[in-house]
Amino acid sequence: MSILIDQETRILCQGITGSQGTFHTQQGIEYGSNIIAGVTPGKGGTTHLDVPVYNTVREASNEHEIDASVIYVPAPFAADAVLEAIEAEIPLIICITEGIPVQDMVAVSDVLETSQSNLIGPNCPGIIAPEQCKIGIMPGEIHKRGNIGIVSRSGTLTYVAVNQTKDFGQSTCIGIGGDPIHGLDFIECLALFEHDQETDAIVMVGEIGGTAEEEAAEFIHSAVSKPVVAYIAGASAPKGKRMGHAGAIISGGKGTAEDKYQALEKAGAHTVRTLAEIGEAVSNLSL
Amino acid sequence: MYIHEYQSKRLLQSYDIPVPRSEVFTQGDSIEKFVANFGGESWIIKAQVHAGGRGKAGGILWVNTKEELKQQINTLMGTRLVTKQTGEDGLPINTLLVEKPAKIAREIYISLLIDRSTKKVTALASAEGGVNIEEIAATSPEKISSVDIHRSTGVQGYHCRLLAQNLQFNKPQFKQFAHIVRQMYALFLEKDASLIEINPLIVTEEESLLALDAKINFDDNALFRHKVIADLRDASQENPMELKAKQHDLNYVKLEGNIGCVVNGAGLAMATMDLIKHHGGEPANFLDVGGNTDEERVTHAFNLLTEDPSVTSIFVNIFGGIVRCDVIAQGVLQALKETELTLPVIVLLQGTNAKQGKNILKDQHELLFPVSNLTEGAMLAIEKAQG
Repeated sequence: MSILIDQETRILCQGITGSQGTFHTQQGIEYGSNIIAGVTPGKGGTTHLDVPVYNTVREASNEHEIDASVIYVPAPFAADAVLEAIEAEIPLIICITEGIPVQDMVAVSDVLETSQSNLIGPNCPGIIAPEQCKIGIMPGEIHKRGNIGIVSRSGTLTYVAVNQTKDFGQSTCIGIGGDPIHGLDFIECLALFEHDQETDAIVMVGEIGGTAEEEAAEFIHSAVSKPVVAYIAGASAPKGKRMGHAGAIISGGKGTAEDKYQALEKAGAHTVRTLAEIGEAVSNLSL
Repeated sequence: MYIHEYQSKRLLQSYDIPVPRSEVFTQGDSIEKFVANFGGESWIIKAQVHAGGRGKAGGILWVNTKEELKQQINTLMGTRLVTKQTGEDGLPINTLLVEKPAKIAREIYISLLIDRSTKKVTALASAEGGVNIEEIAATSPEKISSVDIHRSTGVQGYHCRLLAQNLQFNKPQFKQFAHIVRQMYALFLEKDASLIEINPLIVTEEESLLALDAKINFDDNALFRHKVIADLRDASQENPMELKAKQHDLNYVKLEGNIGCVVNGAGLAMATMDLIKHHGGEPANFLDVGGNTDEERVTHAFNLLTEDPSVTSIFVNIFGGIVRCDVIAQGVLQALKETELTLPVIVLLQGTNAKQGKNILKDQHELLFPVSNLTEGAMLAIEKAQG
């Protein structure tokens, strides 16, 4: 088993005819992902990479059963694409696009709250269940099916974690995205891994800023029985040069790497202070 | 994106939020003409730089005569202001804001920003404005009111009542306050601001509200739809190397250390800095060449780092994904030749085609040190940096 996706997942690609959409759809098909339809406004009725293209998500979902939609639409139009996928009641939406205006995401999250859809991203590598299904821009060949679940805010750090757990392999790897406002958070992913039979341990890669890692720590303490290895990037990052006071007030001085490490250690997570030690920490779990 | 105080105040004014009467002096203006046009008896000169802590650094001056005004304008213009936020080089003063002093009865704090945990625009207010607001937030957070504003409702009366609960306004003041909150929110939404902070918002001795200082930041990702805002950028306030990096699509931040870093992905770039620090070294920069980097970007990155005189070794840490490590290795060799580098370069290639990449670099150059893992790379970069 894996979480959120598997071999059967039927995938729609929004922005399929663009350069990013084309390249990664091709890679996905080669990996064995089940990409069944695409959307590009104005190109409905054509086929691209042997996949039928529609003008709207609704048109595509009228013709096909769709489980997930991946979005490679440029930033100015990406929020529109996410909202369209929510409207069409696509259960899982993965938005790869980087650089979406944050207020667009405020609007998206309002609509998302009252919907049945789950959003991964934006500004993320996507999700992969190794040897089953790859949705996103991660290099498929570094992954191996196995028993480690990986959840991370950063793209390349996810790959590093994958690389260091290659002796075990991964059940599912999710990049939740580095933007201030995003869809699925650590807690939801931890909960999914906790209930996934294939996952024996979880690697969580966080970053400074916000309080998502602190909240995840509370959740680990109360609801996660599987071992969690955690690394937080950014301990050495200089503080923002001129953030005004508001950011500091709202975080109440929280959000530093040290705060996050303390919260995670208190919750019983196995923390590592450098990314070089992730693999070793997983090996030490005696799985 | 940051803008100057005078620009922030002009924006506030265009949204009908009261600001002090002021004039702006910029390079090339005639000082005689400028001073001649001034009425009143005393003025405040405020140096316009993109940093806080200006008052303590001598960038905000009171003057009482026109002669003094002239003198101080001459003294400040064209110099660099060093505050606790600027670093030792300081920032250039090319513009001065000269304001009529307001008679302050009390100082209030108000701001709007996006709260990433509630995923909403949040308003904050406190009866104790001024420079100690962060201290208040840390020691007595109950003195700060906050409330989320939903996009679908906008600012309602209750938002203003909650924010004003400790602000002790009389009726006309509350009315004025509510208007200011609504207008701030309109500006926030319409211009894709990421922060609007009025600190202090003062109650004058004449009992009305006035925005005495203001900070407005904008979402860089939204500038494509706000040309007017994008045009407010003052490149003189940005680090020249950071500016140059931006032109090549590189995400670069100058730091104080001596180990130059070339990394793909922001997370991995931060983690690489952490690793160097963990082993006792000091990174010279944060540099993200992008998740899907190529040879050309690596060359640009090398060019950039060679311009930083404090760099004594370079640590290249690339995780090959879609872009293969053998391509990156070729790029590193190419860059070494083009930039005629004289610094040791430690290269870690992982991921797609990492072995091929390492083979390409083997025995190619006496200053080139391919490594096999993160810790080895960081330690060697530190060792080589010491000469």
